[in-house]
Amino acid sequence: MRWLRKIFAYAQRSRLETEMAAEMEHHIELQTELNLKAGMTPAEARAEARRQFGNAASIQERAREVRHWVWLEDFRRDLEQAARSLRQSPGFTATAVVTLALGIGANAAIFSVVNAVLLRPLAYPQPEQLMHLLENNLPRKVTEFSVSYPNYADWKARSRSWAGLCATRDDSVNLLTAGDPERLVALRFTADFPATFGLRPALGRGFLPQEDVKGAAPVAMLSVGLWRRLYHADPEVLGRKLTLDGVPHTVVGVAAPDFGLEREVDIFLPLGPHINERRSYHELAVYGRLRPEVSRDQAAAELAAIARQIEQENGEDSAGWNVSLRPLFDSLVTSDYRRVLGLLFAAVGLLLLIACSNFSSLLLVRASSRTRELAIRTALGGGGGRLLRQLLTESVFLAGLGGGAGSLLAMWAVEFLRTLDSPRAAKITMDGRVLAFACLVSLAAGVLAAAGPAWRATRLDVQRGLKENSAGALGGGRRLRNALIIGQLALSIVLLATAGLMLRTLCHLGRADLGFRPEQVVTMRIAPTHDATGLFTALLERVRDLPGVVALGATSGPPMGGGRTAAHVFPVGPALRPATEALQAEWRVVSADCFKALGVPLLRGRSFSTGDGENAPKVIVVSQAFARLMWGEEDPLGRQVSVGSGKTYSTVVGVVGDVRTHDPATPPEPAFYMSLYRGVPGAMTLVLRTQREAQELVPLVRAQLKGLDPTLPIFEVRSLTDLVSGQLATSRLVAGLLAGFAAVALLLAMVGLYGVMAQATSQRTRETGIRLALGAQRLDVLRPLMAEGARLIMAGSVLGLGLAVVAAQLIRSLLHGIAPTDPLTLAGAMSLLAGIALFACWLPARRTAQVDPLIALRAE
Amino acid sequence: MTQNKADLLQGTLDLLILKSLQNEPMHGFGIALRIGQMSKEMLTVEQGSLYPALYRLEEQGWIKAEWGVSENNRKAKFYSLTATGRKQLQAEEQSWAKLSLAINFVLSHG
Repeated sequence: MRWLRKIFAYAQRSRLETEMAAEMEHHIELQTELNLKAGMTPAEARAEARRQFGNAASIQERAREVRHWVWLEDFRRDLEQAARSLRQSPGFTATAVVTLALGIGANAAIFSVVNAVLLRPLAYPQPEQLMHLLENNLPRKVTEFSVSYPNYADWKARSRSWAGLCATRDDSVNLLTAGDPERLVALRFTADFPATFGLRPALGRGFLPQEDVKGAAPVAMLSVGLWRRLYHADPEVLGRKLTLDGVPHTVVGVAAPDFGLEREVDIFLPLGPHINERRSYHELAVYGRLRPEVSRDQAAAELAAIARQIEQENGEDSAGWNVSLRPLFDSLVTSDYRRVLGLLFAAVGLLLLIACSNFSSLLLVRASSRTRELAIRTALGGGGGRLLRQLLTESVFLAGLGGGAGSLLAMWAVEFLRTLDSPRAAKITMDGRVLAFACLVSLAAGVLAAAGPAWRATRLDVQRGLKENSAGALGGGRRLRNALIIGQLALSIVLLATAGLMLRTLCHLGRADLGFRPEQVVTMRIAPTHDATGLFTALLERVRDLPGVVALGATSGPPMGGGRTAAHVFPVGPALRPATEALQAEWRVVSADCFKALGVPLLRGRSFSTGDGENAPKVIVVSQAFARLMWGEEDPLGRQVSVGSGKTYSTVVGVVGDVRTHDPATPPEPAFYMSLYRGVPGAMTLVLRTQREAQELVPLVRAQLKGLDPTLPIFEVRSLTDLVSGQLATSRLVAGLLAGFAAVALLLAMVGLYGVMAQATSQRTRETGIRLALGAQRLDVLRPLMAEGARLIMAGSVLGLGLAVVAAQLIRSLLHGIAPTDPLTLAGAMSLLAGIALFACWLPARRTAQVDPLIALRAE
Repeated sequence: MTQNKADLLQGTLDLLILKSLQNEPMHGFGIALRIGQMSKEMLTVEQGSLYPALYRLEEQGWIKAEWGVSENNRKAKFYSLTATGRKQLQAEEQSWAKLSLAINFVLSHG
């Protein structure tokens, strides 16, 4: 408080300055009057008064120093004193600093992610006006879907709510270079995209409206990265040509990094030349900037009305489709990810509480061991304020050291966090805000931790403090320390239990029956620019004979590959559902041996062969779930279905096992497979079951591909196990971090418990010595020593169990295959903690129990 | 060494200021006069150097200042002892008494 007042005084120094001058002037006037009474002339009297007063300027200078800088001086002296006393007890200092560094470091690291992902505003002007427009079809249970081009065009023509409305589509293209061809990540956008977002190109220009239509001369904008890589950031790049998907494109500009909408994009292309005019073809992401005077609800209402008009005008294709608006930010950072961040932030918060209470315990021990000193000083008139200030300075000083060390830890952690597969991850840094947060947390930890000891110090009973011997005085603050320990144990259980639940979720997902065998499978993708049935048929022939390839197939989308292709399938003939009711099913185009290469069991019938070509009858292979949903227990072989609203029927020739296609947590969806030899929908993934490494295989496959089409790159080279574990990355990260935090919490709680028990038992050394001298067995003396620790552990466990049950409910949505109140996990967390905690109690107890009675009795 | 000497002098002046405020609030000039009387004119300080000391004591919370009206009907700042200041005065008087006792002892037995 005093420092506050001084800062305040410093802030209004001009008023103090005039007051000081007035006060001194008053003094001189009174002295002058006195001198006049003594018989001097007015001039003499005044001169004499000034002489008596002394050099006013230098006095005022000294006064100013007192007013403004004494507090700094005091502060420095306090700090010096704190540093000196901490140097005298390096063990205490090191424990405190490490404890705080772990707590503050973890908080700063997680806050750096929160800061970059959630707090940092989007890079666009007035980002709150930017909306992501999505379609939904609630009658068909589609909650969020991409937009079809005709719908987008109608909204744009009819809606009055928008200052700008634009569409984008993710894409990728083959780039022909002097070396091997490359696959580039592309973003296609309409010409008004930069204006809507308020973006400016780094160089050149964006796309003109006349370039954004079918048949226009192809143009492209480079990303800064590609510009550097291909052209060494040459400003003369504009007008250069670059061959994409076999077509020369003219470079018209270089896009600033924010063009990528928080993703890494290599190249930007106009959307117009590549739109699909079908209203049922939902493939666009639509973004709009609201007019300043229009609210989100107004715009949504207007779009809903437009959707009704479109429905009336177009019938079938538009039935049930509606529009929803989502703020751009919510679109870029999903609510799931926000929940994960919230969980991690809560976890480090608990960790900090544990670290803080541990630190507070340490301060309490230190303060109690100084009880006598403090009592003497109080008795001699040392002000309570001064003592408090010293406690606080020491605590804040230590917290500062801990915060500094913690920030270093966080800096190291940030390097790791930045590599995460997280939206906006590249922006994760230790910026000023993170450092300010670390400072604030350190300060708060310092003040908070000092609160307990300070409260005790002010209530110090001088009489008792003086009377007590040194060992007795150590007992002070026991109740407060016990409460802190119980809290630490309880919070540790919360962290252990949530980490346990996440780990078991991960185990469950890792053990999930995927429906395929991901081990020893390498996948690589090839995107031909024309119908390439012949190309893939020939390539499969050639690659199959490469040494080390056990089985080889091709699929339009590997499981866990991230893509999703689905269609409506109508039964033909007798089925469980009416002929008008479609089954929504995943589809893939596959080659003959694809099931073998993936390890998907063929249950009935046959797979495809090169004979299932364009002119052969249309055949499909269905998954078990598909067959069950369509025909129940009856034999699906030979039955027919109609895919989409097509008039041709496909006959089922085989049944394969169910496959989890999206992630290990999602149960298999009904699926059907079509023959590669009838046609290829676009990019295909080669699936190689092999014992060889991907790096060895790629050049061999590339050599074969070159012989067929030298312009096609090979990309997305992954092992299938990597694809699977990639889908678990978030769960693994959360589980890993939580487990790490729980381990640190456990360690801190044990250090705290050990400290309390060591102190408690050492106080009973004399008592123990007497009992031993009187013939008590070691075990008999050990028991009462352990009893106190056991009581603390019990109390902490019960409290922690209650809190853990509450915490588990909060993370329910992140759990899979395990109940939030899973008794095994909760019991496991509790017994792990109790076991280690008992050990932490036993160590000091045993030492006390083994004491030589003679030494114990002589000790005091 | 100079530090110690300065501390001693400063401590003495502080003690004198606290002592002079023991019975009633006073303004700066009044304190200067009282110190002059108390020390029987033996300790004549440069009057102005009283003020830095006053401000320091104020900062330490031993005395507090309030604006009031002086005997010549002018606005003046009056200083008075706070509760801690009163304790401080007692403590300093005691330690001073001990010190002078010790010095007397040394002088008479030396």
